[in-house]
Amino acid sequence: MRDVPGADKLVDRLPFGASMLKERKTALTGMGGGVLLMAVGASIFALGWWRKVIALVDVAFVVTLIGWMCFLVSFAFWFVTTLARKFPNRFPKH
Amino acid sequence: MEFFGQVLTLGQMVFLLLALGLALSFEFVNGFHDTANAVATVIYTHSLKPWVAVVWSGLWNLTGVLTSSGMVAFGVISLLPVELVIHVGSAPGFAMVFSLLISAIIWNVGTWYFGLPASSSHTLFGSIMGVGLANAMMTPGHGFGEGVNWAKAKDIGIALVASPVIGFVCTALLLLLCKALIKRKDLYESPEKDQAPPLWIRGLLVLTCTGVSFAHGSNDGQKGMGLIMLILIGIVPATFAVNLSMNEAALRDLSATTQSISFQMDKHSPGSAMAGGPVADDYISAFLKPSGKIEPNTFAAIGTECREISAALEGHKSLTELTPDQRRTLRNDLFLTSEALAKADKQGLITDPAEKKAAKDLKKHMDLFTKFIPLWVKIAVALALGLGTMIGWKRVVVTVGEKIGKSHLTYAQGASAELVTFATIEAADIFGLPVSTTHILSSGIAGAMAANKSGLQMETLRNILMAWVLTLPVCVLLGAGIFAFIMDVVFGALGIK
Repeated sequence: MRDVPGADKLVDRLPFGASMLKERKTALTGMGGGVLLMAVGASIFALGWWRKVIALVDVAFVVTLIGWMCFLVSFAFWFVTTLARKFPNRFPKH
Repeated sequence: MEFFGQVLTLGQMVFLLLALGLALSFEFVNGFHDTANAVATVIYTHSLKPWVAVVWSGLWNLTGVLTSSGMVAFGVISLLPVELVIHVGSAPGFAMVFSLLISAIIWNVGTWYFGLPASSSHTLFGSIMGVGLANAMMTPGHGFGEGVNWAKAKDIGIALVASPVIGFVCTALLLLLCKALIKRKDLYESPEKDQAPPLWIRGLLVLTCTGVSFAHGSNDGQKGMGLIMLILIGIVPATFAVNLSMNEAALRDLSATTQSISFQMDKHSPGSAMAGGPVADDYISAFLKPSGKIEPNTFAAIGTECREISAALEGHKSLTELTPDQRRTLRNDLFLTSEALAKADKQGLITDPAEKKAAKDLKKHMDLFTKFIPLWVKIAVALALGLGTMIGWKRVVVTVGEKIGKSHLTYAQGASAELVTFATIEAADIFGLPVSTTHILSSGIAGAMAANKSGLQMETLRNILMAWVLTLPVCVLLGAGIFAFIMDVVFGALGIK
């Protein structure tokens, strides 16, 4: 509903929120960030594995996990936005 | 290299990472998908500023997860196909976990993208149903629909009909009651810009927001915990198959109790002999299927499992003395026996009061060995759900707050809808009602709008209803399709069986 006075402003106060984000760019940035984090995690993991330092392997696991989650959620977002863009008239407009 | 107390290969670590990431992502998505249930009314009645409301809700979700008992977590596991649960470390077991999580994430993100408040629980159960159906179709000797818990599907059917009616009618009635009893014009008009409601309404809304957030955390958070435990049991059985903190006295007690129960079970199946554990596993697995019925050998199988548990524990001071394979076998025996005793009791197959009590006590005792959740799992899920709640909440909140009714939500409308939602969650917990919180709140807002003669946006309502009805079939198809794809294409190409 667009005729509610002040309603958009009300929710726009939050620094997060989908309408403020450029969807495609956000999804790709999220996926890129996720891949980057996974690469960092893999590097730390390789070092830990090679040096047999369990603490490093643990840290690598957490970093890679966060990267993988970041990639996964962004990918799901990208998948849905792409689908919605392909079939724009069949979905409700916001 | 040793990881989580067990030597894992690189491949196992990658699997663990992929699966944990999926489970935590599901919780993260669940967080922002369901935030609207708690914060929409608080934001649109100006009771709390949006950022305060979502952070507050996120923190209470987090608290809900951290203080949860873990019982719901294992309830989710009991909905899964039993043969996949006991062989969760196998290729079909992993395919099950991956496919149901991917399917649930896709549908949750999809409905969130269009700002549609759909039920996350229905999404998860639809995916579980899909996996069950696909598994039954792909496994020789299984009939169509054998792996599906039809009773739960019926509950969802009831929820689909009951929740909108309860939400709509109860909220409308509550609003009309308020109008009759509380003669304050400002409660029934759109609020002035940024003007907060009277203190008591504000307090009520913040309280219900807190309650709904806490309940969501302690309920939905546990579903993720259950799936994570299943993953850990499959990949790292040495550490997670059984609760390694059980002491010598507990081991001795369980060994003695299972031995004594085994004789009672044998009395139910006189003359039935059981060749050994695997045969007993098959009998109990067949009984535990949603369509499974008691057979002459079922009690003998439970007796055999009890004797195996007793033998496995005898003479040991700690579960760490068992090898990883023995721990996994012990877990399966405990899981099957505990579930079989519960089902037999529920179906009234155990009639003798003393035996009934002994079976219940034994089940409780066995559950202590298998139904445990490490603190780090709780913290990880709490963070994922809490952070998810704080990010990306806007789409569904805008739909609930702005797109259902034709005018701005009044203080009384917001309070009535949230109060009914909160009361329904409590009632559902106490009486086990199959209702959906998401459906109750959305239809509650619609009921409040109708009672106030504010008008309804029929296009939005149609879209929401369509999403509710489509959730189950779409998730069944997604879950089944992804399961078949992973089994045939991915694992086929990798040569994993």
